[in-house]
Amino acid sequence: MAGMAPEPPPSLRRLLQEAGPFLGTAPDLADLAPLLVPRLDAVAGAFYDSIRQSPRARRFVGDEEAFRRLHASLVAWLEAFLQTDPRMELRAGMALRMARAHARIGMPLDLTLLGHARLRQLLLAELLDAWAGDRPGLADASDRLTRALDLDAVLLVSAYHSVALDRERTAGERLAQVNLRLQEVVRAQEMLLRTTSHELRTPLTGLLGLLNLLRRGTYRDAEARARVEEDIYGAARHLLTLVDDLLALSRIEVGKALLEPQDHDALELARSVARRFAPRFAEAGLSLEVRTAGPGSVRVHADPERHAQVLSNLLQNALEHTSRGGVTVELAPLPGAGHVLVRVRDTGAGLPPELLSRLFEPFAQGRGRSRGLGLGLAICRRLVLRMGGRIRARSPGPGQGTTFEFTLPAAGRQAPGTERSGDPAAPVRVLLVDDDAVWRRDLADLLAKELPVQVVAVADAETALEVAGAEPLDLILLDVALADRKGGRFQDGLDLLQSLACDAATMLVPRWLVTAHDPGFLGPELAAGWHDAFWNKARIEAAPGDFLTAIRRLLAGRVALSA
Amino acid sequence: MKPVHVVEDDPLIARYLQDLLEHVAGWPVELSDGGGEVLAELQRVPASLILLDITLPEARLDGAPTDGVALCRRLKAGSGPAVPPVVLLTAHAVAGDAERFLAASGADAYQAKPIYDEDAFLALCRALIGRAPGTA
Repeated sequence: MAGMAPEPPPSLRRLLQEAGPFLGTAPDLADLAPLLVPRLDAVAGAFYDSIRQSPRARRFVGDEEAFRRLHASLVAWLEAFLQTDPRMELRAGMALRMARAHARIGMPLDLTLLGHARLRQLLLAELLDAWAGDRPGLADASDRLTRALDLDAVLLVSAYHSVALDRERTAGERLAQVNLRLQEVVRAQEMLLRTTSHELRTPLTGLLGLLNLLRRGTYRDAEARARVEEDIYGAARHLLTLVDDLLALSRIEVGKALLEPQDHDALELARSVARRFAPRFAEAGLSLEVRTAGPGSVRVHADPERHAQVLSNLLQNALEHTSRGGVTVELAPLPGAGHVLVRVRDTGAGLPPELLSRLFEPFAQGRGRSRGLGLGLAICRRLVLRMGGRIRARSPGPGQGTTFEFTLPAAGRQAPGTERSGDPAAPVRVLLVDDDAVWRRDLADLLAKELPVQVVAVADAETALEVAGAEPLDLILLDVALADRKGGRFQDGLDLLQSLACDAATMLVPRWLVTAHDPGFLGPELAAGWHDAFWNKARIEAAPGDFLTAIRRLLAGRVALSA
Repeated sequence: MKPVHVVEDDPLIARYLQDLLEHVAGWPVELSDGGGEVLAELQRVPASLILLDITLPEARLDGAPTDGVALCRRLKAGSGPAVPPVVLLTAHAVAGDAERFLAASGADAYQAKPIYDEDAFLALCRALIGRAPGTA
């Protein structure tokens, strides 16, 4: 039995405040321990046999391995229950631990209490059986055991109550966060619409106006006319670029832009892009250098055309914002060999910190006509994300140059720390998050066998976020009752679900809950709409075809899947 | 006639307005690109009418970024007797904008960009020039 926690958690303190005054002290059972402890294995065995026979209770346990685990922990718990000194804090602590564990797997209170009643029957029967002393002694012993179990049941009810309160509060806080985030998104979209309208109207104003002056015969002199025609042509081209960019951005945004990833040499690609830029750099009196930083292959697996588009965009940016010195393109494999880094460093105007944070948002730089319209970087970011990389910008400050860095998946790489099945060249990626190893394997096998998808199966939320951050995904399947293996910041799958729903990289990826629980158990979290569909594991097991059909239908819009 | 003072950061639109006002209407034009301390320029240039763009990313008012609405409000609040009429120009044409901008700026009129009806726009300018102090 672990020692007493120095600082009881708030819900335990509340539990003691609420329940304590009604309960008095727990009876001492230490003298019964030698009698009952040797029989606890039999008690646990009988207890779980009864659960095996109850379909409703069985659902919360799982496979035989889970039964074995629970059996051992029940024996340990009963032992502690008999031997612990009767201080209320320890009793309440045990009740709270159990309530939390049950809340995590979604077990309702009535089942817990039914199980508790069953345990009481079994323990009293064992006491009766083991008792060798006098009858008044037996009456006293069974009375103390009953009172201790009663107290335990009351603490359990209170613990359930306090866990529910905690969950409600955190759910409320999370909802408030999501709400704020959604408001931001709506505001950003309204802003984008207004800005877009403004940015489209501006070249149109000059274009239409000058065209109309031409029509009115305002320009008598041929030279003036030619100059105006040239201006109109320039404005129209500019407008076309803007419309193309907007279209490209929205296509990438909704995931419709088809990418054709191929293994290719990033150094070769950078050199060829640099050759195209060389005359413009020479004209501006700027140097342009491409080199590898460090040994190792810089072959990447990405759509070469989009890769070149991103690099061109960054070079164009650097060219526009650099008046002396030059630009260096550096390539290097990242440690771990999963990604290749491409760095574009200029000695130009630099960026103020406040702009850095929103640099990749559409129209971030917005207004300066000479600087383009601020869609280029937004497109770069989305392209890089779609290709499975990341992009960022750094600048020590205005006047001190800017460095853009983006990563792309290395050619023929294997993501570390993940189980993989299926064809590594398959473009459709499904992330499966479940801490149940058997289920994870079975479902990953089913998906990989039936669908041309690549399944990345992970056990915990942190790995899931790493994968989601590193690779573009087409579908996320996750359980809500994840055990928190690493003691990290994720209490369970709901937190993960929220993180995925709020992260720009995964916001638009469909998130399906796949759990053993009733939707009702999730309550407010489900109402927050972080998930797109809900699947019961029992339903998938009973009719896997429905599940596969639903996935096919979902993915059909993205990639042509052979059924 | 005093010139029409056009404050516009987009060079193409500035060209267009200049050509429209000079060649079609036959009025002299003074151009500002809307960068720096624009208010001083607005107060200094004797004008029969000011066409003031709302979105002026390079404009500063007391050193801080500003826009045509704030500039106009400050100009109109000034004491001088000869503040010319002001037409706000903007491509931010969303329903309700005109009322909001006019109320906030104290401008005399508002013109959305693009200018769909040049003749109506010129008529508006002509009417305002007729009202300008020191005209007649």
